[in-house]
Amino acid sequence: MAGEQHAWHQLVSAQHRRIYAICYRFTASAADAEDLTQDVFLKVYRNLATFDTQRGSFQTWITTLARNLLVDHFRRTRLDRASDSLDASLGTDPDGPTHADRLPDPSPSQEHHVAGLELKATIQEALKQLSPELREAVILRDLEDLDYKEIAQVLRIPEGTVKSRISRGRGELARLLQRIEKQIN
Amino acid sequence: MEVAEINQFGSAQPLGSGPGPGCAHCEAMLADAIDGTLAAADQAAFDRHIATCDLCRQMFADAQRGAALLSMLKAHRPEPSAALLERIFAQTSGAQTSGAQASSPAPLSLLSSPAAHVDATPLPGQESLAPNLLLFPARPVRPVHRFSLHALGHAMLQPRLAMTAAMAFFSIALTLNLTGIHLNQLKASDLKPSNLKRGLYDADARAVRYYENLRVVYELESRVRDLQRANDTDTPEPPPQQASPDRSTQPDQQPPKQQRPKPNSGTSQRQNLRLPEVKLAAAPACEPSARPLSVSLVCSHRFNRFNPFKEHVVEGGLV
Repeated sequence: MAGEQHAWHQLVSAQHRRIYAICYRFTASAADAEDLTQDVFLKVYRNLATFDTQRGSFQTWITTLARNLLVDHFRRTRLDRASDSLDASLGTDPDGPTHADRLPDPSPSQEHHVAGLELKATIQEALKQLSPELREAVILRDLEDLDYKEIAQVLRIPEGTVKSRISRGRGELARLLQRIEKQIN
Repeated sequence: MEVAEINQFGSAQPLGSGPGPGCAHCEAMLADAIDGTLAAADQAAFDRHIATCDLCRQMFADAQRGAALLSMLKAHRPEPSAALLERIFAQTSGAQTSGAQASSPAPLSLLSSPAAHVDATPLPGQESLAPNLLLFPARPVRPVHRFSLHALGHAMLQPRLAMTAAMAFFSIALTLNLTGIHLNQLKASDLKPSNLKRGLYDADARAVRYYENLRVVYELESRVRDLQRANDTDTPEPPPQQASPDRSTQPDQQPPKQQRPKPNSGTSQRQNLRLPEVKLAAAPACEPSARPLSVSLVCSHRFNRFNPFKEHVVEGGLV
């Protein structure tokens, strides 16, 4: 019993950051990401007995569970999603910089730091505006380093479609970022 | 015409981009081209195509830029709060700790959350709460920092709640209108029991008056009174006799169809006049063709004889 518990603790400790990152990148909300991460591990805990090693790796399995919960979350919240505005904070940190509120900082190093944070927040914002099919593909490939075969298993689509979605997602992200920067300037 | 398919997210699938088959093939190779894993022949074909196709060249440039942006984002992985791990353990296996640990302070997340508190408090004699937690996982409730008016408005504007509220408002308004209560004229003294009682009686009297003043009710009541009066005038008479000659009747206003004479209802010409008809009608009809004529002659004669108010003698049958 103690051994199982220890194993469970190790598993959760090893995976919870990765699952949280996937959820955060998809929802752009720390609160939602934490809730979803909890749900993922609760589901894993309940369905551990159903995991079949011959079907795929544990990482693929838990990523699939996380992705399915993200789909459900997306469907549930699509009616409540308001359009983004320039006054919304970049990312979901209410204390973070906003699009239209960028205070100049005289110090060059701090300026670079703030500019870097702003850019990352802007990229996250653009990622959030991507359509969900393209978003999940680029997150799993470019942010989580899954290979095309694993992504195809998680998303249950052919590998060719995975590559096509990743390419379109990248291109769309670049165009969205250009549009956001034009709006700011 | 292409029909868009609905994907798992509930939205229409984006249709393929690129005007030509070459562009579709180029798009398929885009990811591998950026990764640098294309075979030599494919790479050559790809390079040839983008040299001639502006659309694919732009697409390739955008995809490269997007990949670069994502690699910047990848460098800073979002970190969860420190409490997340504890919450996960509390939800799944934290309650499986032994009794020795139960005396020590339980994990912060478990006892600090109000929603989990009731489930997690160990009762004396209970060995483990793990099954309960598994069946009823207690998610710690995060404090709500802002009261969401938007969420409340959204909940209230649901059709069923809006209809219920509208019907309740309408019913109350109608009741107040019927009882004659005006909210802007309401005073504190009106709420005393005696005043309430008086108000109730007033409302009752108003309702009765309104009902009685309705034309249809008035007309129905007057008809009923007339009928009752007509029946009452027939009441104080001796019991009817079969050959009574004295008749003092008013013009017959009875309906032509035969009616059963009421017991002790008194004599009247028409009732006595009716009796022969009944008797004759009940007699065996040997000559059905002749009988009605003779009956009618006899009856009309009798009617003429005993009806002092009738000026004309109608012969030939009952009128």
